[in-house]
Amino acid sequence: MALTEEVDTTRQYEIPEGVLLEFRLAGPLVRASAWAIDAAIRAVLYIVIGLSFSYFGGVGVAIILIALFLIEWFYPVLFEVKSGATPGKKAMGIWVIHDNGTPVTVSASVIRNLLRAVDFMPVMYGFGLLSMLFNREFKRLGDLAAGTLVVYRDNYEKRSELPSRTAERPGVELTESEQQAVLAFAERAPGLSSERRVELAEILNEISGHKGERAVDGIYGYANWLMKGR
Amino acid sequence: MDLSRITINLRSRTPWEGADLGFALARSEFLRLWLLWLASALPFYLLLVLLLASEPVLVALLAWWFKPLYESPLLFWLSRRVFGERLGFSEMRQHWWRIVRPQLFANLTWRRFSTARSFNMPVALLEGLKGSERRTRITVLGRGQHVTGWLTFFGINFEILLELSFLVLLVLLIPTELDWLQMDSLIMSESGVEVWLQHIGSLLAMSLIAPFYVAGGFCIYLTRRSELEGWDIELGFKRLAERVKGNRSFSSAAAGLLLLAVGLVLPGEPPIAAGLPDREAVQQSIQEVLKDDVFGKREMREYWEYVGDTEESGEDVPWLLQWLIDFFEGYTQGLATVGEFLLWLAAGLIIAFLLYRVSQMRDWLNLGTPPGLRRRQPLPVTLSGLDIRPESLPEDLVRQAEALLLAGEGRAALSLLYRGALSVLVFRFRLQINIGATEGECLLQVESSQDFSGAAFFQRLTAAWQGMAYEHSLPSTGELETLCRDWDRVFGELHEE
Repeated sequence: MALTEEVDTTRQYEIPEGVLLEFRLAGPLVRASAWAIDAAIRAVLYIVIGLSFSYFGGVGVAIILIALFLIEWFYPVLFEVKSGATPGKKAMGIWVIHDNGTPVTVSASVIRNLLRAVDFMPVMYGFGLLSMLFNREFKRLGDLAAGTLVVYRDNYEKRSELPSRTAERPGVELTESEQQAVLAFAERAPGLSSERRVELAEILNEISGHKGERAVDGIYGYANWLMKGR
Repeated sequence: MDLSRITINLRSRTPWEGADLGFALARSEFLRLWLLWLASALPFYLLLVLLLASEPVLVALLAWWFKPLYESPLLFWLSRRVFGERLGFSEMRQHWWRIVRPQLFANLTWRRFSTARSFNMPVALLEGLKGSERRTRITVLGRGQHVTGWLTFFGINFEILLELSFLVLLVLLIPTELDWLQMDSLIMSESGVEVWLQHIGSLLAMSLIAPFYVAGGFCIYLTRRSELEGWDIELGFKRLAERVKGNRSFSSAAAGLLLLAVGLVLPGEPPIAAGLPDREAVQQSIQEVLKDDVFGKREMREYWEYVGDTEESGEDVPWLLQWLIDFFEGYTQGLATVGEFLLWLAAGLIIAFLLYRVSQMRDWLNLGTPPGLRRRQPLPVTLSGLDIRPESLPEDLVRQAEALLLAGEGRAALSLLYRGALSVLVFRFRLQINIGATEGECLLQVESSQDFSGAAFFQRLTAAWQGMAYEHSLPSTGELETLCRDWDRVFGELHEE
């Protein structure tokens, strides 16, 4: 029995203009790490506040309790509304967005963070973990209610330098994914072993008509043409 | 290994995303993986319970320790699943020992402590490497793959929290009145129904997490290999070569049939046999489509719009005129500047003058002296231009006034009486009268004073004084005599005290 469906962790959303946006969903592991970092930050805050206000008697206790309440409930909201990510999420390179890719609003952020109370049940995010493991988009209950996604942030990668060769036009018209494959080869081939490099390049023997290192050079030429030849 | 049959989307991923991919894979095949895990683990667990019925903690510990035993079938099954094959349960049972046996002893002893267990297992089980080969391979593959450690760390935490969740949920759902279960006994107890619940909880937690853990490690491994060996490139090139070959040799239908026959149908992307259409034809058809009214129409509208000043001067104007324009422009501009300067100067002068006036009237306005300081102010020596210092007045004031009256100096007499009254009020009664107060203000002060009772007399005296000073109507001699007598009555007695 042959399976054809490809497993991936992306989610696509087509905006009304017909453009397809692709989000890379963040799973329970990276989100747990982000949560652990935030929990550590909050713990330090609690210790500092607790130690500094414990000298002020009854008023101090009141201030400590109010600060605890505010931090526990609004720490994520504050950061998510401000920049889309709490410090922990920022450190892990993920952030919160709406299902349609827009930045998270105050109401959505408040909903998803108030529902932590439900996700937290029975102990330590039991329901939240189960929900994340079995939801197609790694959503916990708060995300389901608020219509939010936690996704990896696309960072602008520095374009690696292509091996310089004379630009050469490929013998056939290439589709977009094929062009991407050619460019990926040119970017990554210098890091591969020479045997593997040649092995990969010779797959395109039909097009380039070369063997060995000349095949590799041929594909470098195609990549140069795709990058700047036209 | 035939990459064209792979059923995960090969793309460059971070190790974290690799783990996520594993979680997605485990979710999509959860039921099969879960049953497969239970097929190995449940009999083993029951055996342990039978053998060590009195040691529930030891049972849980041993079951946990032998995890690699139930994980290798999952990994083997997943490795086939990734290449599009779902092994049946009977096949798995046949090969079970062959899958589990390799390096079992190492897996269950020193390697049990490795935090990268799920990532290293494929090297031994799928690549079949041993000893130093395996070590070097893991060193190369494992470079920068610290996520595998976090996977194990959070895996343990997930298990613990799921088991606790299960137990706590049970206690929460049973009404407290029934008193069947207690939280502390449920977690600590070593006998009875609580122990069975503990066993069920730990089995559930381990079985829930195991598929995700194994698949997570396996997919981090796949991501790493794909990155190192360019799997995505190989797949992309093979699909390209396939398409080109199909174009050249066969018609599209024949190519499809042939590919199907050799089992090389590419997932999700049928071979493009017709080739890419001609560029010009495409452009032409695009233009035809765009001609439709649906895509809008052209319309001309005219309207005025301010585009800013145009600098035309100097074009057609003779140079002399231009010079004159410039000159006068400069002149008028200069004039305006001078005018502006004069205006500012005038404003400054007016403000300075006003400030000067204000400073002159400080005393009267009583600016800048808070009430507390006002009390310590030196007592006034003159009021309404009259010298009221006690030493400036004669000893027997009334006698003097009467003498002046007899001499026909009514004005002087009245003046003396008024001065004397003020002096007494200020210096004897300590009445708070400001320097520069008018007669009317003095009268108000006197009337509001509680120490002094001769306000009615003072009012008559003031009226007489004001009438003389401002209207030049001197009271009759009789009235003045009355005033002298009354003065003596009001102030004279005091004088003697």
